[in-house]
Amino acid sequence: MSNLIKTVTGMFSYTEPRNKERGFELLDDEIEGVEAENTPQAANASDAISPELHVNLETIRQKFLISKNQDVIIREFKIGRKLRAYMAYIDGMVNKQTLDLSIFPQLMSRDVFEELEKECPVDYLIENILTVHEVKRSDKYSDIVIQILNGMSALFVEGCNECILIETKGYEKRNVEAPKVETVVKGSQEGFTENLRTNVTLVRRIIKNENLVTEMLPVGNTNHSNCAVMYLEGIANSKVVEEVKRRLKRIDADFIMGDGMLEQYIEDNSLMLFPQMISTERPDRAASFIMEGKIIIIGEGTPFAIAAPITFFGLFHTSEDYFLRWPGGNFLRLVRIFGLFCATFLPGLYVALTLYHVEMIPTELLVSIARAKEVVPFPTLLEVLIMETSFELIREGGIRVPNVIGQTLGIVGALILGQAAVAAGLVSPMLVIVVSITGLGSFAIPNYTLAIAIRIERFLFIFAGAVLGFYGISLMSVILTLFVCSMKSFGVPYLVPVAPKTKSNADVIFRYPIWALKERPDGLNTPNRKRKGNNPKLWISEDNPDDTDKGGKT
Amino acid sequence: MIKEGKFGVNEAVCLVTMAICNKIFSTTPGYITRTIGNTGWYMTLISCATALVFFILIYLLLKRFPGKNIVEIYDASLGRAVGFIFSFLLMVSFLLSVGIYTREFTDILKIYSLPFTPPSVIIGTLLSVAAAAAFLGLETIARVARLAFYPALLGYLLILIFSSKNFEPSNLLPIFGYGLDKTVITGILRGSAYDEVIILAVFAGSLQGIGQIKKAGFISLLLSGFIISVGLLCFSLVFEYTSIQEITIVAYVMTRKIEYGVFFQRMDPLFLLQWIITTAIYISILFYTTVSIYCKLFRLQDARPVVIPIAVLVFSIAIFPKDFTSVVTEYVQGIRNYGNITFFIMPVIALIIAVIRNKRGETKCAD
Repeated sequence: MSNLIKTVTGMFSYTEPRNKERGFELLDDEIEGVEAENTPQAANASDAISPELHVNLETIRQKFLISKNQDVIIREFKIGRKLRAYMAYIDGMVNKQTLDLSIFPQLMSRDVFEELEKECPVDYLIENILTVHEVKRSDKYSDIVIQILNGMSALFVEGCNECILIETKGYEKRNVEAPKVETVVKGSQEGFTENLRTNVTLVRRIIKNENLVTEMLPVGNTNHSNCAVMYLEGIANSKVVEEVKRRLKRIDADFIMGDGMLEQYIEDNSLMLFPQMISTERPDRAASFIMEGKIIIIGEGTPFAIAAPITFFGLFHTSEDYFLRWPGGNFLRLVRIFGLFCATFLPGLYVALTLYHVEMIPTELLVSIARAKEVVPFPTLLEVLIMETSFELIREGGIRVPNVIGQTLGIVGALILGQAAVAAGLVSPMLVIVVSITGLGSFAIPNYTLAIAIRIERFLFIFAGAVLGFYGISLMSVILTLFVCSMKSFGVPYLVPVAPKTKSNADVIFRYPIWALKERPDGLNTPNRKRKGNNPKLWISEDNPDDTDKGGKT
Repeated sequence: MIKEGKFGVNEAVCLVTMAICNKIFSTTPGYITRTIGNTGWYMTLISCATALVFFILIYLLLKRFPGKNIVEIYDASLGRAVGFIFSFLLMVSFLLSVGIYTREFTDILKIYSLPFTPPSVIIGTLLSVAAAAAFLGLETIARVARLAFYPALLGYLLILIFSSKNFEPSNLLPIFGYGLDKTVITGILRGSAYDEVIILAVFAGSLQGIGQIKKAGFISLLLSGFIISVGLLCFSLVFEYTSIQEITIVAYVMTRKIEYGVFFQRMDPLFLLQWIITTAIYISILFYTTVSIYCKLFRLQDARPVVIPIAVLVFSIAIFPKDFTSVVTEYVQGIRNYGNITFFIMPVIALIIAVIRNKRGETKCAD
């Protein structure tokens, strides 16, 4: 009866429906905004350190949300058993041995204050007690917090309005291993790692020159990442260096991780397909870029560095080109350029030829193509798209799957693309050959970003060929060339030294013998263009004194 | 005034040479043969010499007004009103040229390659490329011309070399064709075949001084004369003059005749790609020149707003002729015959009036 009354009254009254959803639900309500305003960071307006230790302690606790954060360590102790102090650091980011053996024992020793007369012992501690290689001081919380996050330990002392930042970085990192993307037969087998310091050191180890400058710049407003800008003073164009730093400093983003993100923030034109900076995972290649007058940017967290400014032709160069003798190096470049041509045009040309210009195919070849296509039920465009899409799927799948089954996927993919597709009458054997050569061509492109751009372009050419034959392909080529010609990388035209024409360089498409590469690229406008003397092979003149003049002219 | 950027002699030479030489792929060789027989190869040298004479006069005009382009010079020399008319006529000449050449190209492409495609599609796509080029600016067009010039020249020379197998020296006889006088007179009148050299005067501000203009002008005219002459000579060597008259694009048919063994035959793709790419660049150059003159004429600060309207105008002009015959016999020949007036005679008039009125530019920019 009571239930009936409830039901009847319920029909005339309104009650808030209960949330019957199970589990967590993220609602777009106003509480989030209020919470954001009440964060400890917002509450602390003052950035200066207080001489009172308990105030500092409380501030640090608030800033690092100590009540929730369990990996931030605050170690309170007494210096020389008299003066109260505490050390703040992040567990896992510091080398505990350094703390346990070189810092705490010295600070806690009875003998610390034998000669101390001043009130604030910061100078005394730095000069006499702390036996670590790098010590800094700071009086701003903003700076201290970032340094602690980077792996330093902050020592706060009672009565001091300065904090001592002690170098104790000691986090886990990957060892230097062989490069995974830019493998070479001849040449260095060292690759960058995820650690910024290690990467900088790897480059420094190659260029042992006092003019090699490494500037550390903070990027990322929230993740407080760092990046290193490396260049050779007196070789790199100072205007380009300033421009690179200006762009890096003016990035207003909360999260930046590695070179890939940095590249997108500082490149000249985001809408273009082609890369405007070169990414490398090889320290030797990064070093060679620096020697050319380029600027290297190394981000934190990825084993890559980016170089700027670049030109289109530089995207075909590899470090191996210079380790090989020049005929071999040039031959490989020729193969890569042919690969680029195949990767870009081949499917499009195939579509255009078979749809619009059959009269242009030699008769025997035409008969062969026609016979193969006889059993295929799809139009040529669809046939090409099926194959190209399958190929792209296999390639993408091959990258994403674990290495163990990656090989299997490749074999399965090859079977699907090749034999099975032909046997099922889905595609013609000729097309399998075309797509295979196209795939091989795109693998021959040494720059990954360029290879992706070419993959996209390939589809544009396929559609252009399908819609307007050679006419469409030609127009698409002109349009893309127009866009490429309008591109610049940090003020350097993309197709320099060909368009616009500048002073010829011995290393553009083909390269001369190594001793003839005497000058840096003209397009970079380096203050010092000369790389070698007039006769880099002085031993020739030493062996044959008569050849001195001849050598000077080379 | 619009900012057009800077380019060097090399780019200028490629730009002008490509614009002039593209006619070798058009109906012009066939038409010339119809008029003067097989003497086109040296008739064009006479046209080139005529154009050189006119270019010297244009150079003298530009030298009188250093750092100024032809539109500014017309204003300075003739006064704003007459100068405006002169510049306007120049702009209209370019506008008609780009429209008619687009149509000529479209009809030829329909004959040889895309018989079922509507002309409006071909014209529309070609003008889209030209409009994109105009958006990107003169610097970009000059760079594209520079980039495409050498491969195009190489492809052209390869076609000529491969055709050498089909050369028949007796085709050059009679050596004076329909008569030397006719050849010389036609050669002088067809100096307008090289009228694209006026582009240098339109973009005078983008080159580094009058010295570069002179250098670029002379080199491009001489180079174009050589390229066209060699091409016409090869056409005459391959075909009898009676046959050439009947062929729409001689270069294309000559390419199809190339055959070395069973596989190495049908070089048409090489020709077709080269022809379309060079024509697209050629049309882009002419189109941008039209846009540029228009902007300078009306003193516009930005060229981009007028690109699409001018493209629509060019499209209308291109679609206007009723058939291919009228394009070849009336419109193209009309431009050839009257082009001399706007491209060569008017600058000379401006020079004469500047001398009479003692008008000069500021000498501080002179090199």
